[in-house]
Amino acid sequence: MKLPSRIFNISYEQDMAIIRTRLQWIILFAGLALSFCLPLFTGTYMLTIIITTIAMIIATLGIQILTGYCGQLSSGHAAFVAVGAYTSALLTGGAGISFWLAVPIAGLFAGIIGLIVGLTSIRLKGFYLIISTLAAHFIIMYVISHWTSITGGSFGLSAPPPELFGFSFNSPERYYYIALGALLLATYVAKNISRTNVGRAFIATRDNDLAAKVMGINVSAYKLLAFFIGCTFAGVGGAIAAHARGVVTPESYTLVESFWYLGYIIIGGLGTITGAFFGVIFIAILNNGLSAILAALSSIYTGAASLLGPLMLVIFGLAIILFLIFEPRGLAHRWEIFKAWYRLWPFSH
Amino acid sequence: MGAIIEHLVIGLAVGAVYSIVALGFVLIYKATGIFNLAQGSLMAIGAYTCYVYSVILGLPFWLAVILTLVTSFLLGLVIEFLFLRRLIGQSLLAILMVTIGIYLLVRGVILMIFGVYSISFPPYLPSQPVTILGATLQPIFILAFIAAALLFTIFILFFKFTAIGVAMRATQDNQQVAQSVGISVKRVFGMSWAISAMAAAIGGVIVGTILSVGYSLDDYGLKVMPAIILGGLESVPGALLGGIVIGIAEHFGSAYLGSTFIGIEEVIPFIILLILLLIMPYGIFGLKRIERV
Repeated sequence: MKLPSRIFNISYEQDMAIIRTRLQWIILFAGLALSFCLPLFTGTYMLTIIITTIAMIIATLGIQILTGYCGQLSSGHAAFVAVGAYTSALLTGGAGISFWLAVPIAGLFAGIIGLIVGLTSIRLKGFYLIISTLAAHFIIMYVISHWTSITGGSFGLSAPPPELFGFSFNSPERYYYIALGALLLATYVAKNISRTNVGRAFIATRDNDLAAKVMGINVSAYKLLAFFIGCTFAGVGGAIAAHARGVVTPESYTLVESFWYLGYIIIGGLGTITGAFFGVIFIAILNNGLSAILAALSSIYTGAASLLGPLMLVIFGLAIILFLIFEPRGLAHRWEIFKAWYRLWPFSH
Repeated sequence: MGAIIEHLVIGLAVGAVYSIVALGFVLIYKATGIFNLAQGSLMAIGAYTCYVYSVILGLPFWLAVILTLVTSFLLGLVIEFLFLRRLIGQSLLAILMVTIGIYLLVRGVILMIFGVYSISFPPYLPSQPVTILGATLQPIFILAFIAAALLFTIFILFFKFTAIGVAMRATQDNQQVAQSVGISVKRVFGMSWAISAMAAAIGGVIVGTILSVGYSLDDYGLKVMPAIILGGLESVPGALLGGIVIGIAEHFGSAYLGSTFIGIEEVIPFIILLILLLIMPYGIFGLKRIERV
């Protein structure tokens, strides 16, 4: 980590610390305080959007570990999100298990399904892997939408709001804190996976699998581990989103949705934890800004609101292509450039 | 026995359509080494272009098809020039993601212009079905079969005997060596995208006639992937064989399993695909690359 002038690491603990300077501590606590007070400033609608965005960030952290760190392309991420959402809805709604137990189980179950799909990655790489995960997406979604007796088919399932000691988290203002807590936990776990030996093994596997194997890294095991961790995050994200929405239906998990997850990490920046945040938030701001503009325009032109979906596809497709051509390292890299500029200002040489 | 032959004939006809679409994938992969996930989008563009020429501009259908082919050829050149040329030498992820970007972009544009409702071509074929070996077929399947046979003959000869075809094979084998013997790699890339877009447009018109022209045509391109993997990514005859095998398997599956598992024909190609990828990922005619990692 690059540090401002006059600050040096003189112990191992200091070298390993994520938060190192006083300004970073101030930003952290200010940020936490702000996010805890957020429901005071935003309306319920805005808060619903924020909760959905948080759930997406958790799932995107998963694909960031799988694709960004370990280099295993997955075009079936939405299916794993769906597995998590359905498992959690089934456990809480059908079996009556508590939400606090159902979400971890949903994550683990999605992880196990991911592990099974990940078995193909032992023999395949590159576009063969993207095709096999694509096939997995279609098969998982077929099972979910056709196993009517369990999943309710196209009607879906209801996901009841969580309860704790008789207190029901049944409004966005209350549920927000659960989502926020999950996000903080997920970020902490993901950040620490990425900088420990597991994360370094992932990066070695991504950059050169042959060299990684020569160095004694068990490439196949780490690929499977990446699939497990990535899909666990996906499952938890899906479960959090499902209980926020209250209902799970198969059409929320399309192939295009899987491609969006890949797009988030391209736009945010591959192989960085901040990248997952940047990508999802960038697209969420674009999406909701555009939706507000179109809603304002609908008084002039009645069809404006229905243009949102197609227009977002166009913008998202263009954003992926333009980022790959002009800034392949994503917004996270821009952020690093900005931080370097800030650190060195006013003497940049 | 009669029923089996009937299913076989129908499966063969469906497979012929698959193989036309698969041909487009193979053409791009053979020359540029790019696996184009947006092949289905090129199909959808072809079908909608044909719709614009034949219905909105009111041209006769044969003329509309010819104009569609010309438009697709130019469009292929434009896509390659605008997006793919800038990414020569980039990582596989970048190139795959660009084709995904094109997929999303094309779907958005189509939805914006034509909306979600599917449309159909004017009837250009006789409407009474034809009976072959006890199987009743719509005339479009016969046309698809003829088109597939014609296209594959042309392309097998094209890669064997024409200068640009040989140049494409050389480029796929080794871009640097190809360049050093005087092949314009950029031109080869452009040509392969243009020709592939034409093949996709033919597939799009045929599939658009069978189903109807809708935005989800681009997903049809993804359904064809098992055919390409089965045949081998680099092989033109493999695309034909793969398409036909997958078509027959899908039809048999829906005929014998469809009553128990509703809509199973949607996923049969993908189940075959997963099994194939685990057993023989390089397909029947594909080049085997031995890697021990």
